[in-house]
Amino acid sequence: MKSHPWGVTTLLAAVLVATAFLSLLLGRYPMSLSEVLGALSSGFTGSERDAHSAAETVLFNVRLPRIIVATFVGAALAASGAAYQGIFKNPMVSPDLLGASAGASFGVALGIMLGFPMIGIQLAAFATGLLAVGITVAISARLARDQDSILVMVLSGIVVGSIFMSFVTLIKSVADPYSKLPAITFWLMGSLSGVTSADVGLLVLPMVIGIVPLFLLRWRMNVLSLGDEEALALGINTTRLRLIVVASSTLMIAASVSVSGVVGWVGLVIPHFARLLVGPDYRALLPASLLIGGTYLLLVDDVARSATATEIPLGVLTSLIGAPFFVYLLARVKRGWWA
Amino acid sequence: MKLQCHNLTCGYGTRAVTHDATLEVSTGEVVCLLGPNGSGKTTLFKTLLGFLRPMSGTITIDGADITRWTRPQLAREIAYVPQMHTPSFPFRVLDVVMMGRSAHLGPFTSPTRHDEEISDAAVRDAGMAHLREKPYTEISGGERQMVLITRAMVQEARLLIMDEPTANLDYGNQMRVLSHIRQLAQRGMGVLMTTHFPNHAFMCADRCALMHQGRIEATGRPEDVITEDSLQQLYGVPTSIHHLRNDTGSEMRVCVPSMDWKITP
Repeated sequence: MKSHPWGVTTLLAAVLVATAFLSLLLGRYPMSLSEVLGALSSGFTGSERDAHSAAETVLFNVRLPRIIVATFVGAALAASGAAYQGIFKNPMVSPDLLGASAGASFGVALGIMLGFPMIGIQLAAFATGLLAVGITVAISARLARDQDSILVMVLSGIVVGSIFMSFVTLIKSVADPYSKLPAITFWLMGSLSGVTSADVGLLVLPMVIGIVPLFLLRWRMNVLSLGDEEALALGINTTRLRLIVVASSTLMIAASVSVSGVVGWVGLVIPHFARLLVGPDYRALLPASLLIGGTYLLLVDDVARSATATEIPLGVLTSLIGAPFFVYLLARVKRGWWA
Repeated sequence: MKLQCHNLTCGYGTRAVTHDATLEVSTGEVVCLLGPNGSGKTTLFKTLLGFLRPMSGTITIDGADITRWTRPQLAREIAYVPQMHTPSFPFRVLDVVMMGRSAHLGPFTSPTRHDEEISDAAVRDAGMAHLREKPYTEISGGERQMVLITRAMVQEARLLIMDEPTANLDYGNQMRVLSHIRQLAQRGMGVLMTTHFPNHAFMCADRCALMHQGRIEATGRPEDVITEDSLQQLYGVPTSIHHLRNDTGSEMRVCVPSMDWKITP
């Protein structure tokens, strides 16, 4: 497309790559640029030595998986947020605000308590995440009048979210305090500190399954954002489209929640920022949201793991940035929400 | 090509809003639906467009039942120009027009260069080349109405349903939109529209239907259907109809409300 802002997209991709590379240099274990480059080249070319250097171990077992997971989770949250905002025609929604994250958390907590394998935990998170969004949408559809539908949907999401979070608390209260409870609590804080290379593998498949339909349907999401009746009259099967988009986004949310816990607000903040840069067209907005979301969470995680001696939970930082942004949106939503 | 509904009863859930509506639109003609607020015009349109399932009765195009058609199939025959709305995202004018191509695209494809060329040509034909790159949210109401009509053109449907195309427009834009609607019919489109102005029906309709309390009370040529009696019955306002000749020599009919506008001290 002539109008596609390729320049901006390329720039965003370059920024992400550069941020990822610089993040490799950061951490408790001090590493110089040459050490990192050396470890990278010997790691990727297949080492001739039997014993890996300490630098290699830190790089490949700790930093690289963490950087990849942070990027994926940020990208997934931002892309889902962009998708949610379009299909619900609502500037103030994101997967966490509509209860998807809380729903998925319940699935994960349940899975941990029952001793599910990771894949089972992810499936449980997907099912309960979808259930939570479904309930939110059903409640707001019944309550909303034309004028206040935007806020009614947000409020319904908060209600559903708090219900599912109380289920999580219920599970914590009955979970084995010596093995399961610490696992649930630690994971709930929203942290990437325990990430291993196995997590990368677990994240890749659901991310791909989730993002491919969104990419294929990104033009139709434009049309759907005009409103249901117009989209129907233009030949779009709105029910099916909305279902596919919600399912794909929620799958990505469930996968990231099961690896990193609840990392709030990314899905709200990043799509707005991306829209400022590339406009509302999903053909450009979706890639931009992915790239900015990845970069953003990577940066936040860099701060989380290197700002203080003990790690700051990731979710804490994203809330500190996201919540004020939400207030800013509240202030301007009446005037139109495109900037 | 002819869109017909026969004994159509439609409404929400089990509550019927219109009863036994029978109406037809053929390509090449403009049909105007007149009726007071709440008479069921919008519900009838929503049912014709397939947003609502008919409660009873039939909707056909050239005799074929369209209530089971798929969305794209329907969209290739009937286009819709909705009542002017508050736009949500600042899409470019060209992108909004291009959305009219949706029914011609595969389920997983974005518009191609070909679709962009069609849309671009339509924008130029409509005299809006200067608006092509502008955000749809930042153009005037009249321009927005023209963008929606242009979008319907690239949809390449031969029937057009328009919900109050002159609502919220100033006098100049009302006249320009009405004359554009006439041109569409001359180019072979069939237009079914609602309006709140009987004068507009006189200006651009070939046929007219009057709707009252969910029923179509009369259909026919505007001069036969829009009478002093029917307007009194429809709107509860005594009205006289006058015959005029405008500066171009066209014969016109004009409704004038018979009310005393002088404020007596």
